[in-house]
Amino acid sequence: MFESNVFDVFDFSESNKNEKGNGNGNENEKQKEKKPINPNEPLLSEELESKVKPTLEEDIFLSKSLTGGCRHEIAYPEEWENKENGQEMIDDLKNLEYPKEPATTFKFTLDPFQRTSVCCIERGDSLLVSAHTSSGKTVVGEYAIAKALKNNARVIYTSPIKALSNQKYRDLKAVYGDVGLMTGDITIDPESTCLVMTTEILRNMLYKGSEIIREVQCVIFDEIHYMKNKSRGVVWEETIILLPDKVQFVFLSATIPNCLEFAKWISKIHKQACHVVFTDKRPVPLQYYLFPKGSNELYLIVDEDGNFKDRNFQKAVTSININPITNSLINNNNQSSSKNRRLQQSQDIYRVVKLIVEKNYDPIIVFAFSKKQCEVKAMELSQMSFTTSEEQEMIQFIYKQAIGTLSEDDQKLPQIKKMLPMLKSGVAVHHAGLLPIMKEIVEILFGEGFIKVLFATETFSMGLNMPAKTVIFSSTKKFDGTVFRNITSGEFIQMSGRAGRRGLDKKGIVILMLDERIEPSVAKDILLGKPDSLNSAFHLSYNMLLNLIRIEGINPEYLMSRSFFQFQCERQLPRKKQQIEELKIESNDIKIINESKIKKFYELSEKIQELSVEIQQIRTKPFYSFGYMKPGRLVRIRKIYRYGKMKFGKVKKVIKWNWGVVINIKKRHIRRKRDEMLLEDEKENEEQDNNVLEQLKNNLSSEYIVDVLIECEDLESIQKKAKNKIRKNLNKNGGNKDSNDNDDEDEEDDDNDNHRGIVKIVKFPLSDIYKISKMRVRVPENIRSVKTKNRIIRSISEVKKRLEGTIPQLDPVENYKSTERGYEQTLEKLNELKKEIKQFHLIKNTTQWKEGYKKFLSKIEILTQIEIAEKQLSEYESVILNDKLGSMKKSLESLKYVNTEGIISEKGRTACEISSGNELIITELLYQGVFNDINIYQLTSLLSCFLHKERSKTTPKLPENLNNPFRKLTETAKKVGKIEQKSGYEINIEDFVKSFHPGLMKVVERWTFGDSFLEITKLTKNFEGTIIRTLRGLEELMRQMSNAALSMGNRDLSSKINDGIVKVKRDIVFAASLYL
Amino acid sequence: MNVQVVNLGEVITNENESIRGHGTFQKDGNLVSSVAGIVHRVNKLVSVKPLRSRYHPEVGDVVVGRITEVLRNNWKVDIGARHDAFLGLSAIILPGGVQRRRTSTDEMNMRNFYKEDELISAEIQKINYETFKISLHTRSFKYGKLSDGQFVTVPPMLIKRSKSHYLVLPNGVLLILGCNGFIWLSIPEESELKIKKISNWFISTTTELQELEDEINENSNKSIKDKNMDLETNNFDFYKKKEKMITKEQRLEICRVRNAVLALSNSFLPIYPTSIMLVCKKSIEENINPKEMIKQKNMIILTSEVKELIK
Repeated sequence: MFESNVFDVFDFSESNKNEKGNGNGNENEKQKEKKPINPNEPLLSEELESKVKPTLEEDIFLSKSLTGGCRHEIAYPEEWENKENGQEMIDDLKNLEYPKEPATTFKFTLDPFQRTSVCCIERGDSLLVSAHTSSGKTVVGEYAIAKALKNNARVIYTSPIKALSNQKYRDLKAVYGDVGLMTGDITIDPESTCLVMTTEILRNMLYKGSEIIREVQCVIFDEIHYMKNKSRGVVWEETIILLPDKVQFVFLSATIPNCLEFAKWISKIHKQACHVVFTDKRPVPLQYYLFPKGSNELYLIVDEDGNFKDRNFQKAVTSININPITNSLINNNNQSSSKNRRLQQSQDIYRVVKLIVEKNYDPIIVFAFSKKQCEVKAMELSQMSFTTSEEQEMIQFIYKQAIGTLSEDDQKLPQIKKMLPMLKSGVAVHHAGLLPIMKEIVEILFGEGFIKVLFATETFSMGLNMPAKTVIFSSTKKFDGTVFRNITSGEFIQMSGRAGRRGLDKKGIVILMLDERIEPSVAKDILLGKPDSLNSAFHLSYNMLLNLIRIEGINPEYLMSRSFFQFQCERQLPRKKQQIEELKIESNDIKIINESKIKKFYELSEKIQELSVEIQQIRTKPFYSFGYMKPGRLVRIRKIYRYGKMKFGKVKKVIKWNWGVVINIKKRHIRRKRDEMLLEDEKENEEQDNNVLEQLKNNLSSEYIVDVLIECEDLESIQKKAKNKIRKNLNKNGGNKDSNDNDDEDEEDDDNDNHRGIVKIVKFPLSDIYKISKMRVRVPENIRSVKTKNRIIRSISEVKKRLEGTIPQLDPVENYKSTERGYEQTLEKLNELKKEIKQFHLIKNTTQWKEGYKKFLSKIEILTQIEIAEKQLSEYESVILNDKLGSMKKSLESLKYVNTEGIISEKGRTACEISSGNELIITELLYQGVFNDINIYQLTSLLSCFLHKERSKTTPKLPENLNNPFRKLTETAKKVGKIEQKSGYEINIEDFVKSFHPGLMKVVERWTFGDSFLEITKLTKNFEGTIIRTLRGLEELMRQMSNAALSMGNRDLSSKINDGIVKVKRDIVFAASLYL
Repeated sequence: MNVQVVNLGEVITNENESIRGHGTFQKDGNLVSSVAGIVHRVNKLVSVKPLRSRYHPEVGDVVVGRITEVLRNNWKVDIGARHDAFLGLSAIILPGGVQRRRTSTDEMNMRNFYKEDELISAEIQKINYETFKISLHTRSFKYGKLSDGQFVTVPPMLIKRSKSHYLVLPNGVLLILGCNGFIWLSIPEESELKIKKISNWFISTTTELQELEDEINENSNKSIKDKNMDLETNNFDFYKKKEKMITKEQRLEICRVRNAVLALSNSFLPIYPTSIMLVCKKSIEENINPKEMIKQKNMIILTSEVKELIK
């Protein structure tokens, strides 16, 4: 059913105002919307609910249902309560008066939350404003700037992204004039009173003790919810902690549920009151629609009042025809089906966009979750034209103007040329892979209303004030680096916040495209869920430590103890304690008959499990078994899934397979050559002392991958088996084997089940093999056909038949001549235990026992939970991350960055200079003279490895002149990784080494040589935007390196690097932003 | 440990792999020393630390310096380095910790903060290696004007870097060990420190030495914290000259510490709280008056124990 009536509510005349954009337009509109309020009117109107004493309930959403109103709470330091005039100070906080002479006046009437915020700023108190994206938080920031300017105090405005800083700089410059900009790329008027900068720059200034810090009265943190970002979030925390107490903080945030918690943290660490102003009112209400795949209709599922329409949802979901391929459990999606799917999806988007444009609900933002998808879909759609000829002319004009700043060569870049026809038809893409200039052109055109359909990735939802009328989600799933998962409600809120332009639209439209059936509860979670909490992502870095050690009187512990992370942990304490109490009561409540006996039995079977794993490990030590992994060897595979990562954690699930046939064995990820080398190494090692050997034996187990031809169950046979099982259970009167009983004889039973599955070659780590037979079967060279595969598997049962059912296993002592200590003892012990457990066989099958056992298992479950909770509790109680700090300090000491007394050395000072690459590795390379020995081209290309973050699977072949320095880099990384590991720092050396990717070495080398950008883009498949980011980062890093070299007293290197900077910094890569 | 001592112009090494650091230059493929001193090697970096030289500033160092000139918006400070250091008007804390831009009025009133010939303590904020401009800052309330005390200079390389250079010794003397070899001795702001008579300690084992160090650190932290609290409430007095009452006993203790420092300097021994206190203790044991301490023969007696300790 198409809810056309809903669309009709719109006032069509509105959409003609599109060209006006959203800049000043919406402010004028706001004025029209609201009746002017008498400025002398008391502020605490009905709409505003003010609370001074913070409630215990932190969660704003829990404490009060909000009806589009505004909420004001105040956090103040605890010590105030005991102070002499403390109560007066607290009472005074309530005293909010709108200034008689405001620092700046606005052309429109302020919303209640804006008025409250202005009052707080006028008092000079810190403030956190939490509101939806387009609700006008900017006004608050602007007022803070105006007030600081009036007082002749410096004010700093920080934003998470460079592009956002550029835009903000332009906006503020136009209003206030005395504005400067500082990002990693560019510095303009650093002496200005108002400075726009990225948070990283501010953090570095704080560490360097810059003079600006002593002049700053107010710091505005835009998009503070970015603090939860895994890698960069910690920068915000460092910055906030290091700023002086007298600074006024203004935080602008998207809606976060725990804003009061955040404010309390600020008030605690800076001994000042912090106000919270919260509103979840959307200036433009949103309607949510579903567009099921392959359908022609939109279903309204959430109306503007937030009511979920179950009936429509059901209809929408049932209209999805289930594709048998996508929904099958089999993993091997063949290529053609996914192609089909993609085709279908792009047709879907085509249909939706057409529908929306016909209804005049453009401009549209389509969120796709990959750069490639954006490009492909936009290309397909650009065959349609959404623009008038006048608009096309304007687009061409703006485009030509912007491009004119580039050199002629650069204007010929494919990305630039490709874009114009697309833009002219009113379609554009926006993602991180674009050239910065193209991104800006798109932003400008979109702001002017020439772009009707914009395909963007998630990054577009960050901060840029670019709303559209309609937002479409091309999928509900995104790839987050490891898995495809549903988007979270927080992400959904952030992105859907782009719908509805204030003052232009009465309603914003959000369309969710569904390509598979989802549960209503899942959909509700996404659509109506809470925004993400602001949780600390605090972690330690070496640069942070060194910088803190260098300053007298401050140490890393000081920073850590004041972190939001610590604060949040401490607040968890009472809750955790309560949880433990509850769990303890629960476990005591479980009464079991015969508990001691059951416990004994449980312990025995656990022990048996453990020992048999141990035996398996000895039997399958790659050191021994490697030689036996010849094609044709019969092996059995067992996978054990455990809770947690502990080696002997509680077993969750055990899967066993039938006998399989080894086809091949390979070392993981490592090329042939290395493989052979390694084998030679092993041979050499045999002569060395036993300890080394032991280590080698242990370390290898998971590194080898064995291809095993094995019979896998397909869906049908799973079902059949289940049926069989039921039948069997019926026959045996429920006397099924206990899964904890690990007798070998039991397993042999399964082998006789004659179910036919799919015979496939599957890769297993060597450690998963738990039985190796003495037998081998013949494997023909070509085993691709299903027939041969089946034949091989059949030959296994043949073998079994001949050997009367049992397949003999390799014996470690006899066959490998194992010197493994304790193998025989273990085996003996295992047999003893097995004998012991036999005594339980009789009572094991009584119902009473079974019930008791079940209860006991649940009790064990609770006990482990208590254990975990208690461990967490002790972690919360101590200073967080203390162990980590200890191990990091240790590695700094062993690398000689600090001396034994913890005082920074010359080397440590050098490392302090470097903040945009891995400071340890670069410093090591500096002190090894690696940069001295190579020329500037090699140098720049080597540095690119520190900046290139995008992982591509293929490693390009490097010419000798680049490979040499790169090899030195990997050697150093390995060395440093090993030292870190020795110091107790958890690190995966292989991953660490791999994080330095040589993907752009060649490109950067050619760029330094002076090749044009066009030429270097041909060398790589990376996006142009990625290359530019890397090169810009390179210039920043080189400036730091030049300083580092000077601090070492190495003038030659410093001047070499400075020459390099001149070579790198040119053309389109460093073309100024259009906003500047 | 192998110590390589080189003379000016002496070839340090002819290995091609070494990289040249401070105090070296390259000549005919050899790495040659440009100063007389001790060779330091960190990985492949070779540098020579001179035995006697002017102070070589490093970022984060605590220094004591003397204002030599009041400029337009900064003070020129002599910190005993090759170049003058500068303390910017915006690098100091305004009364009450007010955060604002400095105005021309502030520039006019600069002498109200610091005048010529006054002593200050400060921290090295940054060094421009191109122009060798050294910038100072007074990052927190504990830095600033020094008054009512005694000033001593020693060769800067004798100052042992430690975690804190702002110390209160167990005999109640405030000691600012400037990394530049300028040392300031005074009495800390009033606080409830436990002050022991030096004669009461008997330092013999390393554990007791450790205890002594811990005590010094604890005392120092306490007094500096007190100072911070104090200044936040009475902030306007910060730049005013305060007349402190210093008793005769305190004067004698300050004098004792001063002469202990000089004795250590005379024997070219490292100067840090423990070594100073060892000398002080010795002076009491040997019954040497503070003013007698700097007699040549006494200096040798006094520092003998420290020499033992360092061996």
